[in-house]
Amino acid sequence: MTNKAKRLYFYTTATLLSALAVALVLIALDENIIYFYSPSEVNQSEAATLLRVGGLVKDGSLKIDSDLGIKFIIEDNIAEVFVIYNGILPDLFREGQGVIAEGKFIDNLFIANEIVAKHDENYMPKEVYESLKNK
Amino acid sequence: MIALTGNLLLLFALLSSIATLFFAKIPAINTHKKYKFACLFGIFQFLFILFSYFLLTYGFVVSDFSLVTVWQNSEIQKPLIYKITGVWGNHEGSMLLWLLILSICLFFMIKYDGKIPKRVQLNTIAIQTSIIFAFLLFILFTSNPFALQLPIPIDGIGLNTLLQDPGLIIHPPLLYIGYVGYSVLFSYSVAIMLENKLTDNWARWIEKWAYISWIALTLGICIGSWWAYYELGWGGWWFWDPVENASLLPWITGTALIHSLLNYKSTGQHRDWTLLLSILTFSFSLIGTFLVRSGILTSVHSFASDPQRGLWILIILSFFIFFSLFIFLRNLQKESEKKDFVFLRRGTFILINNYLLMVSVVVIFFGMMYPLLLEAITGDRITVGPKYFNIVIAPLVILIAILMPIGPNLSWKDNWTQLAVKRLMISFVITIFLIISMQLVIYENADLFHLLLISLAIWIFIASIVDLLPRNLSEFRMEFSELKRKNLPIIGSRITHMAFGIMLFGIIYASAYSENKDLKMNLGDKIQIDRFELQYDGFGTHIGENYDDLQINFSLIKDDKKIAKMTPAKRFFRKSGDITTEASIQKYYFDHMYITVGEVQEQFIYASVSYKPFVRFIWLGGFLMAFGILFKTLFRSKIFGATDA
Repeated sequence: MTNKAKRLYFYTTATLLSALAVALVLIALDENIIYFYSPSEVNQSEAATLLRVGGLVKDGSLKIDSDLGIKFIIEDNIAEVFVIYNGILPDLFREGQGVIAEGKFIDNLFIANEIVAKHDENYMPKEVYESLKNK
Repeated sequence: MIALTGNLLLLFALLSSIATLFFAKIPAINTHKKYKFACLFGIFQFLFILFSYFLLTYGFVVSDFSLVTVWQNSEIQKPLIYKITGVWGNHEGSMLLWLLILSICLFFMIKYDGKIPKRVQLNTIAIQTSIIFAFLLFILFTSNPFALQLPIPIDGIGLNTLLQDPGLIIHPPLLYIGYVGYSVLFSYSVAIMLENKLTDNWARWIEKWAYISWIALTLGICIGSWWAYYELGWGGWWFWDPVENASLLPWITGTALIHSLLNYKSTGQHRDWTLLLSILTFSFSLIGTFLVRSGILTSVHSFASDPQRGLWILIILSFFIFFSLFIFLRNLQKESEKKDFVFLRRGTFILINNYLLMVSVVVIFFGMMYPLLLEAITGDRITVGPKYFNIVIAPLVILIAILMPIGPNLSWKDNWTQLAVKRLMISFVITIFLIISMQLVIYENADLFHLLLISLAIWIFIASIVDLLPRNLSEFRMEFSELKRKNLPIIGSRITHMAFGIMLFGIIYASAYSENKDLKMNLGDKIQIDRFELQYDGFGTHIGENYDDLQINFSLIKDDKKIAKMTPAKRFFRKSGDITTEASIQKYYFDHMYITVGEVQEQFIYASVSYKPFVRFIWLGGFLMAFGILFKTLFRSKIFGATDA
């Protein structure tokens, strides 16, 4: 093989691999993006899709049950979402403060598998701030 | 008083940087004189910034609440160590630390200029100074740590309780040394490009900075990961959080840079690519800072964010990136391709390494920025889940792992040799042997995919060791000193490769075979996890310096014998009333038992219990990687063009 041919093979392989990487990125992205909604935007019948709901934890709504786990309500002054969570709440979780829950709707209950925590107690998740701003 | 002095010091630093730029660029006087003055004012910049940093630290130590920054982030009761390190626990102070490291780098540049031609050196100092200048303006106008307030409050608000942890003491400085260390490479690279016809061995000047920054960044990321692991209480070591990604990107390009520098040093090929990599690495450091400070990406690490600061950093960032890329494109050299294209030599594998690493950078960066992109176009707000990153990175890591041991066995110039094939065969056979025996003796139920991944980790580990064996009889007979000179830098590289294998092993093993249970436990309950039993024994209290712990006691039992007492806790900070969750971690060889406790009620608790086999390999590997390069830095071979890698 000539030098030119060798080089050609080398760069063709690199291009093909790059194309493969792009394809993989698109497939992976399609399956793994999680949409964010405020309680008034969310369509509760959209069952079995992983999504994020963000807003304020309603005052007085936090209940810790011995069987079902942790229950609370996320609100945005217009609508409310009932959340059930079976795990450990982040340290900065408070009633009246911003929160993002990730999970799925099952029978109009939001079953969260993750509550997003923040390092800074004054910090409001950007999405929550923006969705509250307009209400 | 402190406020005034601090502002003055920063102002003097600003004036010194202007003076440095003036003397570096003034055409009237000769190079020697220009150089002398530029250096003098460079040292002044360093001293003024150093003093202002000490002054702020002093303000924190004596709790001078006339400073807004101190008032917001400190309190009289806070332990001394967190008063000193609390300087960088907030935005203003951490930017001052960033500036301090920039000026320390300038100081070392001036102090240890080596044999670098004065003209290049002068340009380097000028570029580094202009970065300092930009950040000084940024600090003075948007994030002044010496902002004054009157009347003076009696006590401060206190440091964010999650930050009151030993992690704060070393994680931010190391990460910043890594980020900012790359500014030196940036400055040198742009200066080298300005002196277009430079044929001197510039790779050697910037090599040590590439190593030092990489070591600091590696350690910084490892410690950050360890900190998040035990402090945030989720028991994960990597979350693909935007801020973590922001530190990973310069790490990856920095890794590519180290390899590309070796290639250039040994073969003289890919000069421009190497220079571009050093520009890219610092650019990613700046982008990381921009993303953290502006708060445009939702992250667990967000400091109080302020769009105005983001805008400033965006301006600084765009200026330096476009400026350097402009110079890069203007001085791009046509590389002669007359040489024979030899595929199976080390240079090709370094090229493949760089290619794979850059693809990783692109896919991570894309995943990181996609939410911004989509929101700008469609208005939808989304998060890219961690799964995306795992899916796209896994094949790249697999390719890297397969190829990693091959390159170091090949020669820089010629095609492959019998010896290289023989050595790789030996490593391959040992790997197969180990994986089969591991499968027979210890774990019978591993699935094929994970088994394959684990073999790759072992393959890297073994091949790196085999590569250190003497190549032929004459090496056995060599004088010790000669052998030392020849092999010491190589040992460093191989340790790092080996350590990557160790880390990979830990990552795969802990991801695949961890066991986690989230459950409610009543007093005296016992649960089974892996080969252990865990019993809940009730709670007690512990009084700390500025907090009280509610400790929950567990007994870790193996074969009906209690082997350890574990006490995860709820920590109540007296002043702020904040509560943090303290995980309890028990070592068992290379494994961890990890417990955090959620709600604590009269009759029951919620606990999250995990058993993570070989999880310690992740950090062990990370630290060892940094150690390998440290070793290499200390024993670099002194000969340009010698085959050291």
